[in-house]
Amino acid sequence: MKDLLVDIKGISHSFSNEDKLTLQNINLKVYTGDVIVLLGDNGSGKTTLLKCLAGSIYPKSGEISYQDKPLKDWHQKDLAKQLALVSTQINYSPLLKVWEFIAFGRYPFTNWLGTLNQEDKNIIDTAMELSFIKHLSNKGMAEISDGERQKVTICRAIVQETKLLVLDEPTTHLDIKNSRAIFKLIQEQNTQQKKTIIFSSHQVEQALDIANKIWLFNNNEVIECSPEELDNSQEYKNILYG
Amino acid sequence: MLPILFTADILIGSISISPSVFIEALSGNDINRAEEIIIFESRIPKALTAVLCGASLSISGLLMQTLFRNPLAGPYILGISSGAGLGVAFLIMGASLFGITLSSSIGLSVAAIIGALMVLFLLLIVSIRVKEVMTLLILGVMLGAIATAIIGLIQFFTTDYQLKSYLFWSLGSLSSVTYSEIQLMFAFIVISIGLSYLFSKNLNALLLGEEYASSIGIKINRSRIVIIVVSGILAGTVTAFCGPIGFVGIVVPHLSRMLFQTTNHRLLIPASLLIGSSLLLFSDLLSSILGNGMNLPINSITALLGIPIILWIIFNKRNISSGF
Amino acid sequence: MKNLFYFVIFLHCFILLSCEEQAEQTKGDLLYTFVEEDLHFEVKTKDDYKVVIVNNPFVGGEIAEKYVLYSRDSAVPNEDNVTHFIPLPIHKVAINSTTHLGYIEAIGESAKIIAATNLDLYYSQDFRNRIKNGLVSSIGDRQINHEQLIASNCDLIFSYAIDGSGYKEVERLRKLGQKVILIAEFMERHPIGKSTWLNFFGTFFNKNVKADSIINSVTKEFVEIERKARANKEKPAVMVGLPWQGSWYVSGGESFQANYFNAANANYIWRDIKQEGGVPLTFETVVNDALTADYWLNPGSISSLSALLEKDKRFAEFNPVSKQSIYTNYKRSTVNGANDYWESGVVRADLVLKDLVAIFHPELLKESELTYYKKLSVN
Repeated sequence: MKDLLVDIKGISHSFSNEDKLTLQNINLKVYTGDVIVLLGDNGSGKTTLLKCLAGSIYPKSGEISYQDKPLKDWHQKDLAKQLALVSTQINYSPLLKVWEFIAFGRYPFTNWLGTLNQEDKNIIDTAMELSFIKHLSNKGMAEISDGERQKVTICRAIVQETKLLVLDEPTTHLDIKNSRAIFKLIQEQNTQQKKTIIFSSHQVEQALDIANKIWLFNNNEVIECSPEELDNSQEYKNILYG
Repeated sequence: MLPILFTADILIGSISISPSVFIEALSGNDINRAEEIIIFESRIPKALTAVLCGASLSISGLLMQTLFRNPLAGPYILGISSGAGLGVAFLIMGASLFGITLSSSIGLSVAAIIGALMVLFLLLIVSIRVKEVMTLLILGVMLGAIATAIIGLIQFFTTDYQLKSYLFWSLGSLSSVTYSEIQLMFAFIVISIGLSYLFSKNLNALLLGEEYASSIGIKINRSRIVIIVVSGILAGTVTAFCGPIGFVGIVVPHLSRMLFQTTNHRLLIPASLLIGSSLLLFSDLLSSILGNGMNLPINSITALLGIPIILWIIFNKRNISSGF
Repeated sequence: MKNLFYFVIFLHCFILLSCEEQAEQTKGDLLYTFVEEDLHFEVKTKDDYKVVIVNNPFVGGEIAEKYVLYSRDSAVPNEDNVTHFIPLPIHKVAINSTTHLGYIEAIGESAKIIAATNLDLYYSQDFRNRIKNGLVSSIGDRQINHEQLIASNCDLIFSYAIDGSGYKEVERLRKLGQKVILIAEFMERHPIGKSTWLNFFGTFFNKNVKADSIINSVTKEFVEIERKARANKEKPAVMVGLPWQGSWYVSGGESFQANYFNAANANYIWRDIKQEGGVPLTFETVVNDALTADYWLNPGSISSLSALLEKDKRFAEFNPVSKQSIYTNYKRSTVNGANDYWESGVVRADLVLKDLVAIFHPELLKESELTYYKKLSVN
């Protein structure tokens, strides 16, 4: 019996007071261990829902609860230990070294000065090894390739040691080889580290390989189904592929 | 570097003080009364003011550049100095309308502080309601523009004498700050800089974007408020006692980043402090040396120094946004 | 006749100072060092008219104005390059400076002034009464109001230009048909030179005899007092001014202020600065030069010692503050800013000098006789 991790109730949201709602009355549930992929056209609301999940957007109506507590009742710092977000825009300074960048993921656990203790350092090193990027430690963030940077960013979310990992299009702009490496990394987080994963993607086949649930975005609604159901349903395929 | 510049600033000026005289003065021996006054009542306060203002403006600029992730941000980007200027303009013009005589500089300082605080207050109210920090930046710039426009209107109706008074204030001056004023400045500035240092973790996180910072536990609204208030106090204190002094706040954070190759505020804050104090001391030195018997206005010197430095940084790194 | 008189005096000086070109006093028995070439106007008498020339009416103004004064009944004289032809007698004039009133009142013609600028700034009680009774209209404050000037219908206006842009303003008025007579008494470096401008006005109002006699007596008194001052071997040190907008302006060593101090047998601290106008110094320089001065004169518009110290506590270090030997020239002034020093004071150089000698050498003249100067009160 899987635990209920996230309860999404009646979420509606629109941008800039338009009548058109980006999301309308979305009700979904996330259980521990799920790997959920958000599929759908651009602008269909995937990023919006992810941001609502992560708490960066406050939906116009509805409520999201995490472990039975509404998001807005969570302390920022406690939430940071539960949920890590990897969004599409990555800010970094070229002056930052890769290791330093990843170290930020440990912030929820460090003291007010931000000093890293030995345990923190170990966690970072291990995570980097498991992601096969240890050799990049001392390189500058601007010196590495896009694919490497994507791995680094995910690694930063990994060292945050959260139960839930939320990723917005983690493999856009990446070639096939890098893409596969990322998906493998994400899957490992679920199988080995027991993390719940929610992510959006346009790489449908690779995503379906690792996901156990699909949230299919259609206009402002979301249809939840399994990969098999998608495969067997012409209607769903139409929504996805057009 | 700093002690050398400090001493040099004391010795050099429209009257030359020789090092031996300075040492005699420090050890409490009797020297020429005139030189004694020059050292203790003119040079030392000026040098102390330069150190305080240089440190203050640099940290204020650093905070603004971090909050807005913008390389052109500085202590005055949110309109603090324009607000202060508006207060001063009202005082200078109102003085004639109501027949008050401007006898002391305290009036000017108070007017400047009131103006700066009003701008700060407006900004704080808005910052809580605004989602994106860019909106705040634009609002700050607009506030500054409004204040400047009103000042222009006021100037249209004033006499030549008042215009010159306002112009003189706006050129900035490190002299004529009394010891008690220096003590006041010291208190505000040291506390503010201390707070900034304690806030290093938040500052470092903010550089990675507000969304990410929020996701690792940083309270964005609270951070914005703290940064704006501290930066405002730092910039406002300097402006209240010395008038607006430009360029230092923009240039020094870049210099610190470049020299220490880091964006970690735990390093940048002390570095900016030292570099800022040194830069302003150096500017003050130049204003005496180049003035040929007079002291050139400090704002002109900081601009003349600051612009080549920025250009040098750009050409060196080919990209001034490199810190962001 | 008056020209002959002048010539005698100037010759006298010229002989005495034949080797010296500068107005610098070094010898103890020197009379006033007034040199004719310095005077910025001259009067040439022709058969039945006069030509008045004003040279260099402002700093950098290498021009000469030429006014031809002739009797209304006669024909207009044949002269070229004339700035204005002025038919005499004149009945209605406007003035643009308190000094102009000083001169005109001294020769008793102030009833002819029917318009003036800055009506608040005149000291003369008589003139203020005329203003109150509506006999003098306003033609502006800081600037001359063109329309009001035209409406006043004056024969001419006495005015001045202190620089090129001021002169442009004069030219504009002339284009509007106004006769603008430039007065340049402020360009005179010597106090007697300023007084001598009385003759300029005397020529315009046909009161040369009166003007002459006043100038003669002023000059005589001046020389007398100067001589008396030299009886004292002691030359007290004098400092002036106050910091303003970051600079402490002091009169140059060749200014009329410096010449007054020389005449009063005082040691003007900055007498070696070879300039006529104000010189900006730093606070530190003044501390270095003048900390131990004996007297401090003209510290801006300060009204009391306590007000002075409020401006800057460091002023207490200066010797004249502790000796309470600070003097301003506001004894004859009003709350509106009128100051007789700049009105009758430009004519009565003798009284000004007397004040200074009374201040610097109190044993020679009693202090209670001060006319324009007064000691700064404590509160």
